[in-house]
Amino acid sequence: MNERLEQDLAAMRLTEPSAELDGRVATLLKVEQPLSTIKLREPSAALDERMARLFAGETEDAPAPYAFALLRRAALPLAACLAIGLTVFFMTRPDTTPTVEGPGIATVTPPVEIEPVRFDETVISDEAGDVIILDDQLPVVPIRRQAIQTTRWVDEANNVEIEMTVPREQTLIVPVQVD
Amino acid sequence: MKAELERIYSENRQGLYTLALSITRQPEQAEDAVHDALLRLCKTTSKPSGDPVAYVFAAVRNAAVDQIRKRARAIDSGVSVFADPTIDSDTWPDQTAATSERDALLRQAVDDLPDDQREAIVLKLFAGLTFDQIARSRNEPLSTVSSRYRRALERLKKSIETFV
Repeated sequence: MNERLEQDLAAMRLTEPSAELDGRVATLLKVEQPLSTIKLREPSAALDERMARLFAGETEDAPAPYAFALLRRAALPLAACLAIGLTVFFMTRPDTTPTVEGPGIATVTPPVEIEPVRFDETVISDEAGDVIILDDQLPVVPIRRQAIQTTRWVDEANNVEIEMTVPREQTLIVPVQVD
Repeated sequence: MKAELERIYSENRQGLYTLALSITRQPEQAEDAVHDALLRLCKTTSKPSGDPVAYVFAAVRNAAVDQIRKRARAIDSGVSVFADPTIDSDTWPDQTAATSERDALLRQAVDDLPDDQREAIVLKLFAGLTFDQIARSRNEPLSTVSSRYRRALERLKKSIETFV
């Protein structure tokens, strides 16, 4: 009986009652013997080549631990999420950058003051008051005028038209003509 | 250390590969596990204490488990640790038929064993390790390893009861 089998039987005797041992060993040997004759699947020649290179000092990179492998898989989705987040952040942030004029730089010029194309004032009412004498003895009549002032601007370059209607009230001092 | 690893690999090449294949059930992943385990051991500066053969088998086992974790999904069935059966023309025809049937039953029975029992069969019977080495590589008590091996053989014996 070879040394290895003796070691195994000695190990089994530690846990097994010796009366059963021989019978069980004999039975098990009937299974071991045919099993040991079945041909095993062998590794390919590529493994031997890889191992030869390894032992010759031409090592491949060791595989990363499982955690690093997981991090590598998550890197692309994380980068995509970060890019989307930054894009949304910068797009929704108000633009506070000042404009600077200079050669080769695109600038926004302030709008040129546009002269109004129409100015109308429509008098609604004139109310004359009592004659009053000023300090220099000049007789005058105060006239309370109510009017509607309409102003229209047209910016043909930008196709913009603005019309503003403002009610106005003013008091006019009109000298009284004395014959 | 590298010289000793090379020696252990050349002496246990089949056993190391069969152990990895019994865990991964994929030939390519089994080869990767063997290579990766020895690559890591080559880069280790400290010499392990205890049996170096058991240490290498433990490293291959861990690398094979890592290969399984890398899979995107579990596989339902993989390849057997046994080679595809071939007809031996040197024996009698009736003996060949009976032997083939018995071996086919044994092959299937080994593949159907629970993982720990199949590993015990692989390490003990095909890799040629002693119970003490198997216990060291798995960091388990010797009695646990030996009784697991015995239970595996008893299961296999039932599969070929007509032939035993």
